Amino acid sequence: MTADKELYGVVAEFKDVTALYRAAEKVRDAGYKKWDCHSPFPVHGLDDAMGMRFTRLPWVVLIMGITGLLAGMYLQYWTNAVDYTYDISGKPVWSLPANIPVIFEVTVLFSAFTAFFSMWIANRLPRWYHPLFRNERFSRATDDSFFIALHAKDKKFDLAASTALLNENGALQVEEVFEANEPSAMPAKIKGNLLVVTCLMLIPPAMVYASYGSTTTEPRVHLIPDMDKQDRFRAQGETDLFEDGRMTRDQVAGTISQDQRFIHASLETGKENGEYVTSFPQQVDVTEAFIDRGQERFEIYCGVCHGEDGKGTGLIHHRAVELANLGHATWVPPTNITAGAIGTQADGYLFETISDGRRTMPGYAAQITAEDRWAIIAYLRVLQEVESMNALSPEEMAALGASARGSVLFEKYTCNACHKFDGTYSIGPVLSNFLGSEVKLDSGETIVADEAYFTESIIDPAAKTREGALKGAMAVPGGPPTAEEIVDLLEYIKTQK
Amino acid sequence: MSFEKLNLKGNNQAGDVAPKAMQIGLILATLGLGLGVALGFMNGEEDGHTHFWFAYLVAFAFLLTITLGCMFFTVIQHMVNAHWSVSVRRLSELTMANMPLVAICAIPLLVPLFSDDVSVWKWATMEHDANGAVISPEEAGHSAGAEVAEANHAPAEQHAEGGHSKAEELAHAEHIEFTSHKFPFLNRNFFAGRLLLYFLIWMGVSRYFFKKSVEQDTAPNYDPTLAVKRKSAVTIILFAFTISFAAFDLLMSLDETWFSTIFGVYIFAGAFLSAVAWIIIMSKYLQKNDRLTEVIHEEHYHDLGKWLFAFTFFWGYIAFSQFMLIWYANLPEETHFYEARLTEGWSTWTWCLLVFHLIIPFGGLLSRHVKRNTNVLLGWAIYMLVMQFIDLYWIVMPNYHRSEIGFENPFGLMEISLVVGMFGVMVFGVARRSAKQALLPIGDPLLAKSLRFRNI
Repeated sequence: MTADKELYGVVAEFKDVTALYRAAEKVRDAGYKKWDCHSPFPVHGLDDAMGMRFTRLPWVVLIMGITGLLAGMYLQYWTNAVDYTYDISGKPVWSLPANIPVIFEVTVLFSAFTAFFSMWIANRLPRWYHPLFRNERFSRATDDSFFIALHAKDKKFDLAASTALLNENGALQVEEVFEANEPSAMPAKIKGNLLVVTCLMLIPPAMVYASYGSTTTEPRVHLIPDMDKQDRFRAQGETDLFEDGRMTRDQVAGTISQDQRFIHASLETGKENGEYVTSFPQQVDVTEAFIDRGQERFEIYCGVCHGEDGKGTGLIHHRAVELANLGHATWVPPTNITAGAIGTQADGYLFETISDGRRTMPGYAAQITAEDRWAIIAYLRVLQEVESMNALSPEEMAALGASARGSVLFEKYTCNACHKFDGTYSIGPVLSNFLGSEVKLDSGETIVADEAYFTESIIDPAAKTREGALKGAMAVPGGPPTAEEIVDLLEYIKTQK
Repeated sequence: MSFEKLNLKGNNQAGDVAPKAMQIGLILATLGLGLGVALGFMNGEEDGHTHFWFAYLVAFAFLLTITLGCMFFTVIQHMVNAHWSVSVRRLSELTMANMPLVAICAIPLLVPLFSDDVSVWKWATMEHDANGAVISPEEAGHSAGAEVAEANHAPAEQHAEGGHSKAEELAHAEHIEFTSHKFPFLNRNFFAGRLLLYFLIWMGVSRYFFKKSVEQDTAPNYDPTLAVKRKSAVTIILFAFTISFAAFDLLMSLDETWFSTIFGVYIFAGAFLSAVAWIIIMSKYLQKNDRLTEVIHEEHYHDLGKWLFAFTFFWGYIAFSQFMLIWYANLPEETHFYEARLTEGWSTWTWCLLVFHLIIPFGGLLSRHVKRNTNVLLGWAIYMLVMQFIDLYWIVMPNYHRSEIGFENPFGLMEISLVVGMFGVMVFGVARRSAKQALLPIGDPLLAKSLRFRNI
């Protein structure tokens, strides 16, 4: 032991536990604070003999236990009632009784971890090295001998006096202990071993990863066979369990399945007693948020064809017309749903249209929930309201010229969907220069398309069909127009050359 | 084998405390049971004093569970070779040795069992007739105490007789069907026989363990202690079966269709909890009278307090386990136990049980300072003993008038006086036992260790 090393303190050995106990009382009375006793087994009452105050650990554990309780409760509240609500045997989504076991476990987990790791912190663990370990006699502290170590940093510490104190009180031997000048970091040898052990430990998971994450023609290695291959009932499967040998079971008499639970005629079908409902079902509450939801759904599902403004000119329509012009397809343009017939259809009828489709429009019941379909209708009603507010009043209409009125009506009755003047693809005949031309009918007759033919076709589109045209393809939604309106329409058509 | 001579300080003989306590017990028993019986027999003549017999069963169960708890306490300490508890073990032995008196208190229960006028265990009046067919409760009621219902519950009766709905008839038939399968087990003679068997086992166990413990006080070697230690493990198994089946018979079968396999553990939790509370009360009483002052100290109270705390929570754990499984599975034949206790007025009692039997004492007994403050601990012990009574009352009493009216909580003076009377019987019996030998097992090989015992 060289003098240039820093003194850690002195360590005294005692014969037995009684000597240790007595000496501890004396050291305590001498006013030492930074010191410790070491014995191979716990000595009851030594705390008092050392004058140690009672640990504050229970308070930390209590606080963390309560934290665990609240955390466990919140975890289940959030997962069950907020983030992923799921109906479990008809119980409330947040059922406290079901949560108690987990709350209990989390409380215990938090308390136990807190107690365990707080002990580490309180004892300044983990620690690679302690100066006392350099004392040869001290190795017996875990075997058959008893020690008191006084720390040199204690205010009362004085090498000569402290040694004398211990000697007076039955120490067999008092020795000085010095701080080491070796580094306190983890020894390189341990580091290397840890690295090797870690690498070795990574091999099994790597093998699992390789086995599960690659393709192979060999049979798969099943590490956890009962998870990979679970017994379960498959639709149309066979089983010995039931007499009829079928896995698929009928619904138990007197029960309903979960998706049958909330059938309300008007909400789910748009009909009541076989009639289309003309108002929103009571289960939905038409609020601003509801209409906003409807707009969002409308723009996602309907806008692509009907256009975000509902006038039937969505992206698909544009693309389809482009393809049709190139001769690649035929195309029935989407309906302008902001005006005309759609405006007068019952809510229930519209609901049926969205749910089951109509003509070329597919049904959306599978993609859009019933509530959302009603929301779309609510938004559609808003679009129609806006459209009708923008529409010209009868006075304004009267003030316009005949052909200008015709132009408005041409759009109102959605003639423009099929009849074009600009030479683009058109479903119906191109109406410029149509008036007065010869038309070959289905019946083989050839007539001249005069005003009377026009009028008849508008009022009853199926009366005289052109050769090759689809019977019933022409429709006048919201029609038929009045005689005055037909005159105006004709005036408009005449101007389109 | 050498004896460690213990220089036991203080007065460790009951001496004149025994007659004093006997007197207190006798007064409580006479007054309590006298008043209870008088109140019970003044009213309720029309239904064979059914209310009284329910109240008597609660009071009896209170006495029985404490005594059984003490029996378990004694045996388990031997089994695990515990040394801390030696200084208080004689107190639990004295209580357990009171078992013959408890058995005597069980004899009156044969009246509600065998009488057709009383319907405490309803299956008893539902037994087979000669042909093996089942007599329905109503028929049984008519053959025996017909005036009862007509006089007292006329509207209910009219309803029952008048318009049986199809659903009611179906439920009734189902009830008979359910119960009739249990008749091989639940019938009067077998029930009485089982009761006799339980008490024979309990009296045998308590007599043997008490006798050997007293023998050890003067024995020249440790043979008596070694003998009981060898038998303790088997006794625990015997205890587990008997307390479970006694709980099934006496309390669970009050509702003949209901079943819960954990019910025996539930009753055991309450039994051990009340036994620990009773040991604390006894010990404090003796110390107030200048007995055992040097041998039972703070450290022993600390450990008894730990038991009190642990079993408060264990009771809650078991009670909740029973509740949660039934609540989750939601089977009609199981849920009606809780349906009865969670609807109408009984729900208040159920919530009180949760708050006052679990949450408040859990918080109250958590701190070690409470457990080491013997006067505060005494307060908690008395409190837990009261809660044990409330718990038993909650188990038994909703079965009274179960089918006729939804909710009637007949809690009153009769219940209180009967349980006080039973408590008096216990005090008397234990005090009578305590006169003849020391208040602690002075010859026990572990006593020296127990006296030196420290928690930290």
